[in-house]
Order: sequence, then structure tokens, then C-alpha cells
Amino acid sequence: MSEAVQPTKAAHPWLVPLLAVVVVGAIIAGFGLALNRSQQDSIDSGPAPDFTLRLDSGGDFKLSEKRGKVVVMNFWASWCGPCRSEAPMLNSLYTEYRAKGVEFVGVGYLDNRNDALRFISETNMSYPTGNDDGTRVSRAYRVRQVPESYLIDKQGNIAMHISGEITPANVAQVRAALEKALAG
Amino acid sequence: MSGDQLLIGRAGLKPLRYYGLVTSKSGTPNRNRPVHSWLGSSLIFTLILILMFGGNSARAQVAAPTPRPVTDDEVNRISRALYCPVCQNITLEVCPTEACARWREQVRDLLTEGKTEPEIRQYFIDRFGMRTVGLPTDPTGQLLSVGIPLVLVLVVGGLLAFNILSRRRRGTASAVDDGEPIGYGDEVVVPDDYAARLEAQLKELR
Repeated sequence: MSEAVQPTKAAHPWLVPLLAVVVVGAIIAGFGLALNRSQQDSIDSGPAPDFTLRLDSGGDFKLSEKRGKVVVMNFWASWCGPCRSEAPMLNSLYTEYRAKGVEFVGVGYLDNRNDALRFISETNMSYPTGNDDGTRVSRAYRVRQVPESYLIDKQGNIAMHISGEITPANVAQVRAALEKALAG
Repeated sequence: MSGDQLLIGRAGLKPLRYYGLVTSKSGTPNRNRPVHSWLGSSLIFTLILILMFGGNSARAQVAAPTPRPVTDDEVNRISRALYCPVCQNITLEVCPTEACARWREQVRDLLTEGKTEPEIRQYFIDRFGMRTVGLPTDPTGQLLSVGIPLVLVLVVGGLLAFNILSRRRRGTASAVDDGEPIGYGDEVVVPDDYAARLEAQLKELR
């Protein structure tokens, strides 16, 4: 007992540093993965992600139930100026292509209910629309701005992605894509 | 009271005399009461009931839609904890866009409706997703944001607990083995005089 007690060396001295490296590495990898995913561009082709949207007019719009039909999906918001500008063009396309069996659906993006309803009324939006609750649909399509429109063919694939406003300048392309999708 | 006074009833405007509510000018009971004289008393009873309960309900009806005055401070306090869903790391309170102004107005409207702060936060989560409360919308990001602190606490806590238990176990063992090293990372040196005093006390106790 007269001698001082000598400390012993740890049984696994590398264990704690290794654990620290693994944890820090996992954190960096995880955040990197999440960041990479969030930075991905909108999807332009391939199968259109399925979704169910509760419509303001009542009922649900389920994309997979529209298989065999051409669908035009438009993301909009009341606070978005270009969305207001393109509304007459979309209404016109809806009037023209509804008779040919094309389904239109509006997806309200990050909007207050009252503002959205006012927008629908002011723009005379006559096709079905609903709010993207929890941004589930916009995340599935990686939408980060509005307006954005998607044309989905009869097989459920994205035939065209219009990033931005539908204008008189690009509406001819939209019509061409619609005709091609209807023929397909 | 004259017999020409009017009372608004279901049948329209009729002289009070019609309901048997007025007496003759001489003050004596009117002998020309209508056949249904019970109508008068029942009408009085109804009026009393209306005054008793109808008044309250009328007050309630008036009180209900009165909007609660909401100050800018209240709106800002809640907006400070909410993030603009379309901006990068900017709270609603300081966000300069028109969309944010509308969302701040939404906060005000919800406060006016009597919603509490958690209810308003829930409204924003339901409508705009988790990003409005500062959590990533990406499920992996959410898992990491919530899970990492939890995992770190568990790992650090586990290591501490392991270390403490290990020290105790080895400390006990060293006491038994009399002078054996007491464990990982332990730099405690037992002073000679303390050990001597302890042994002396133990001897006294025996």
C-alpha cells in the first residue's frame, strides 16, 4: 500500500476514437445524402410519381387512376405573378382539350386557403384543383418554384415538363406534345 | 295606453287591443276582449322568456364574432418561430417577400380566430410541410436532424455509464486485491498516510 496506484492502459484504446470517427462520418454522409437529394433538379422524364390530391371542389384526384388518359398537371400559387399570367392560357387549353379526354389538374403550392380560393375565382380556373398539403406532391416532383407544368402520357410517363409560365411563345410546343400524347 | 298601440307579431301588426293587453280608457277591464283571452297571458309569458333567454342568446351572438385584437408583437412572436417555405433559412418575421407577408397575415387571421401557437404551427406544418418549423422536408434529413442528437446523447451516456461502472468494478476489485490497478484511465493515487489512517481506524474498530 505504500506505493502509488499506477493507472493501467485501456483494453481497447482505439475503440473511442474509432467510434467518434464512425459517428462523425455517418453524420457527414447522411447530411451529404440529404443535401444531394434536395439539390436534384425537377424530374423531366420517366414514370410520373403517383399522388393523391384532395380537390377543393370535393373528392380526390389520384394520378394512377388516370392511366390511359393524358394528364396536364400545373403547380401554381396565388402569390405567383406568372401563375396569374398563364391562367388564361391554361383555361383555353383546358376548354380545347377537355373534349379530347385530356385531364387537367391544378396543384396549389404553399398557399393559404383563402388566397387560393380567391385566385381560383379571379382566374376563372375551371379545372379541378387542390392544395398540396405538406408539399408531398411538389416534393415528389422536386418542384421548387411555380409555375411548373407536367404533361403525363397515357402510360403514366412524363411526356413534357414546362418549367415556368406557359406563354403564347411556347404554347405551340405544348399543343404539339398534347397531340403526340393523345396519339400515343 | 291607447288601443291603437301596435305589437309586432307573427300575424303582422295588430292593435294591442286585439291581444287583450289593454284595458278600456276608464281603467276597467275591457269587456270586449277577444274570445281567446289566454293569448294575452301567454304572450306576456313568451315575452318574459324572450327577455330572459333571448337577450342572452342575442348578446352571445353579438359577442361571438367579435374579433380578438391581435397585436403585431403577437404575430411577430409566432412568425419568428416559422420559416419561409420558399426561402433559405429566413424566418417569416423578417422575410420581405409578398408571399411571406401573406403568411404573416395568415398567422394574424388564425390568432384572430382564437387559435393557439401550437395550433398555428400545426396549420403551417399541415399546409406547407416541416420546413416551416425549421426541419428538412427530406425524410433522411429529418431523421438525421432528430436522430443525431438522440444517438449522440445515447452514445455519450452509454460511454459515461460504462466508464463509471467499469471504475466502480475495478475500484472494488482493487480494494479486495489490495493495490491492484483500479482501472481504465484512472489516475488516482491513494496517499500513504490516508491508507495508514484508515487501517488504524479499522484496527480500533476491531
